[in-house]
Amino acid sequence: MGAITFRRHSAQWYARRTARALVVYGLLIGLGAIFILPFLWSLTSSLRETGAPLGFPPQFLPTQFNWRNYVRVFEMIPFATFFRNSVIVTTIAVFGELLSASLVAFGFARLRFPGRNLLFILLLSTMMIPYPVTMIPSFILWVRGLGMANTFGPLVLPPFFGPAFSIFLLRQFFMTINTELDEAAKIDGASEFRIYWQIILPLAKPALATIAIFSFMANWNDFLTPLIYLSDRNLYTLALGINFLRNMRGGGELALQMAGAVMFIAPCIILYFLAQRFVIQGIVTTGLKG
Amino acid sequence: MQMTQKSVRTMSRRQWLKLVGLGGATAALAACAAPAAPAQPSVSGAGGQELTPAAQPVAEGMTGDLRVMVCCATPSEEPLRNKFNADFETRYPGVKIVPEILPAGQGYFEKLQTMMAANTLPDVFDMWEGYVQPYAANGALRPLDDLIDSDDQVKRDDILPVIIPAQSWQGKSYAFVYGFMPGPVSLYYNVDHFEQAGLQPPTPDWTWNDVREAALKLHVAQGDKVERYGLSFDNWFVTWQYMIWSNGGDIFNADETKTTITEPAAVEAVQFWYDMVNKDKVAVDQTAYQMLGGSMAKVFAGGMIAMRLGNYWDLGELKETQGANWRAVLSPKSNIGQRVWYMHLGCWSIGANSKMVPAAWAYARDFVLQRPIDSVTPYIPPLKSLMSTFTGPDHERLGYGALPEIVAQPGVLRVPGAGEKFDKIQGLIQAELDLAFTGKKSVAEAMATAAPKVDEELARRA
Repeated sequence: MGAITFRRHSAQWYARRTARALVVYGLLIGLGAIFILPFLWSLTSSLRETGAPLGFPPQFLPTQFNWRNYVRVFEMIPFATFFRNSVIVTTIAVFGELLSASLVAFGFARLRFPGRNLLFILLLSTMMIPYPVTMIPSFILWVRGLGMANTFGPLVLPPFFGPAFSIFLLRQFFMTINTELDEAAKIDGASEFRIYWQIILPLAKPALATIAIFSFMANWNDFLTPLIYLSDRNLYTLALGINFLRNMRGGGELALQMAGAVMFIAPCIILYFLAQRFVIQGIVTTGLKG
Repeated sequence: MQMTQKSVRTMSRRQWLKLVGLGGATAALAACAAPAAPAQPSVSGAGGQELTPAAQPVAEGMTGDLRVMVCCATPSEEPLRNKFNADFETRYPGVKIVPEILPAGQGYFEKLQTMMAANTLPDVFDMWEGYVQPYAANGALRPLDDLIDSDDQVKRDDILPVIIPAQSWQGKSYAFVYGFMPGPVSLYYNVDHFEQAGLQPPTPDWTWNDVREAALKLHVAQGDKVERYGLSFDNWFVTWQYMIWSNGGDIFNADETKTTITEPAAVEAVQFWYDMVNKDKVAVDQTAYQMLGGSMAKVFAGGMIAMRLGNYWDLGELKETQGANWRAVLSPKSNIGQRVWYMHLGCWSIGANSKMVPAAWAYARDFVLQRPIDSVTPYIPPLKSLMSTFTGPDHERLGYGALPEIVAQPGVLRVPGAGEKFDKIQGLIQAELDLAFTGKKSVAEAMATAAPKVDEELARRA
């Protein structure tokens, strides 16, 4: 058994490696800073005195801390009501999407049945249809067919019918899980549902977290669907209601609009940081990006 | 023992699954349930013109929910609208108003379009200039002529001739205008800046040349750093139509089969204003204006702009702003001495399938006659008999006194041409003019690029 020998690198090699790392990190930090600038501007603007000019060039770091703007948002619009509605809609929609998409994806990934690939291609083809194309037929179905005008129904029920993108993403993930696990479970007498529930889902946590984040952001930020289905202001979601901070023709007090916007996106940011590890893992494993 | 443990564990998961399923279903059903009735607005005394109450026997279409959808109400308008609604319910006890006021300027027509397709339009709803005709053509609107003719409180010959084309399609009225205003109506100016520069304040007879000369003198810069811009104006279809029309040009030929935006009168008009941004560099470009705050309140309070070609809705913000010593005159005439404005209007239409037509008409008519939002949104009334009500504490400061007489003249106010195609056409032109506005091409080049696209769109319509 020969001794393991380590190659000693020259000082030049270390210097090159350090320089390369500096360039890479410098670039990444620079790009990161560029991406965060709009958010910093929003944050800074939200803390400015109302009525004060923004000035040019734009300021990215706050010099005033007018926290009262955040209180005024609550005084100007029923922010808590809008927030509650958004939480209700988003929670149910995310739950429905996770449940339905994972079940259908399991079928496509693990069960063998005639026409499986054809059905999957059909499912994928629905991803090519833009929302405006289905908007009016869906509206007719939900409002005239099912009488769900001015309810959360059209907002929370569609995710229970398996969104194609989530099914696709989960199917890809499920296919990376070794089928020997299923076979072993079958030998032990497990049903297909039990394999799905007790074997596949626990292993798919990163992909499920990714879907949950995507679904949360899509539902939280959705403006058009609540706009067309909801009439009663007490049911408005935050994405819709926050627009009451704007005046006619898009005017209004920018500091208050930015304070509202910061509070609006805060849940997305918090959720992302909480689930960041899973999201990155899920994206890496499935080879997809948001 | 193991079996027992396993079976207990399995049962417990099933129970949990059932619980989750039941919880999810309950939550979903709860979310889909119809909402509780919204709180009714409080009833307070009626204001405005005296109105005839409803006839004692309740007529058909005068009982039930009246769905009213409003686009773009400002926050200051909302209490006034609520009061009007409460008063209306008092006058017509069988009618319950179900109001819906959308966030300002956000997706109103997307929502209306969807409702139209699903045949679920509200009973009475807001319409704008240029939208009446395409909606009427699609059969979404109920003709109002029989209602106007049979009404004892509105006389057809009392309606201002200037608004009739805006509310009509193929000779029938499909909307009832509740107010209109020219756009851009005013040249707002900072009084202090004019005094500091030793300039006489603007007058309603100013021409574009006068504006340019003043802007050159009012602009203050040290090198590249601008301390005060001489002028600002919006780069959008209202403004460039005012420029083109006032300079004797037009967007379309007479039968709207070809665009005329490449003709000298059109090109020169827009170029004159864009030169103040890119050549003279005394007018602020759109990006810098947004960075300065993007609103009249900020630019005037901050003293960063001396003059602004603005609109009537700027008034609300200006009034709420402290520290801005401002006044306004009517927007300037072109260098050939004429002024042709874009007509902004608000009007009510009634859904073609409304079951509440009498109530919807009563709502639209009473809104016109009572002018409930006039104190905060100064529209010119659509009826000659109401013209004396177009007064207000700010009218003198705004120079609105001469407006009724001016707008009664033929050709002073126009609505965009090309009917339902205008939205797309203005987008085609705007995309090119944005490049000209930022100095990336001349107006002539922009118009030359846009013109074939506009012609194509016009041909597609035919």
